[in-house]
Amino acid sequence: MQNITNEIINRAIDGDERAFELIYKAYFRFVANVSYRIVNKKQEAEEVCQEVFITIYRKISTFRQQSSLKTWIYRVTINCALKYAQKKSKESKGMVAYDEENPIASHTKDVREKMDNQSKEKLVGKLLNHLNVEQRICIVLRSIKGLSYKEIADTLKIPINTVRSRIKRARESMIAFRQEEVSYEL
Amino acid sequence: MNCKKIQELILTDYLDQEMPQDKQKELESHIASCTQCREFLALAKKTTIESLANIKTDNLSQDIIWSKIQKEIQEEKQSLIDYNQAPGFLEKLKNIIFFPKHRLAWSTCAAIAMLIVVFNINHQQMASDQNNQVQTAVLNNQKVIDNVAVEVEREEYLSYLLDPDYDYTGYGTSLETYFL
Repeated sequence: MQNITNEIINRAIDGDERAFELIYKAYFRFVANVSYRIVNKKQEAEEVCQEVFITIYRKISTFRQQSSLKTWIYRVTINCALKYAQKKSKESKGMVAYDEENPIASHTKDVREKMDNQSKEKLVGKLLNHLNVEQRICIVLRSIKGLSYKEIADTLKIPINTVRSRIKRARESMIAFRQEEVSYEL
Repeated sequence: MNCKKIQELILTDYLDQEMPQDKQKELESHIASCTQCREFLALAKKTTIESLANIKTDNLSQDIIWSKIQKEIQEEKQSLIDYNQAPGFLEKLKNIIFFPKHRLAWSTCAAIAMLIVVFNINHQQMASDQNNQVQTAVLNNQKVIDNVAVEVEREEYLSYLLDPDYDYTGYGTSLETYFL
């Protein structure tokens, strides 16, 4: 990942599209993964990604560098994904449904590995689908993206104890769901 | 620390390595001696950490999304150019008032003149109608007055006839008296 220097940021603020493209390439993976894990559907994740970077493009001139660019981009990503997930949740009157048609790791050659990945992906989808959006965001940022509690709190602008509380409830739900599934399978 | 507190810490700070070292040692010491907490730790680790670790999420195409973003940016820039090139409000007003085309100017003047004429005619017609209405009202009033006078005369005549002191055998005029 290209290291985004202050010089690149300043050029992007001045409207340099090449600089904006560098920022896009540096943060695309993060934005894509978080968007996908929050909205749980590939097509919607693409729309969220597009909206995130369009927002960054429009608003980068207002970026004052008081927080780091990374935190700012994380925040924009979460806000866009959250807004999207809440809108879809209202439309479907409940949880965002897990998208079973996602092609997963289709470029792996080993069939068993591919099947393992697919079943793992399916399980992850179900576990995350079982959480409300706020819990899902905290778990994604912590367990998948590896952000610390402080980084999550800064990104979401919430107290650290709220982060802790959401993660605790999310994991309790995941354990309860998994135990229910296991007993159903038996 | 009791088991409930230990399990809360397992679900949060311990699994996420956010605990200070001394607290972590205290917790591990409890886990070593408590079967229930040990099993809980194993379950929590498997379900909430290992299941989410190392998952591949490279479903989204970086290039396709970038081309869509570029397209949207170009469209925004183009609409901004179109907006800036369009005449402003004052400019549009100036074009309407100070039009350079003579034919349009003359036809507009003619239309305004015609409007004035039509307005005057209507005004005169309305004034004339009002006069007629007043005259009609006056005539109607006079008729009413005349009718009232006739009625009064009739009433007087009838009351005169019904007067007990009235001599009906009399003949009124001197000529009638002469012949009769």
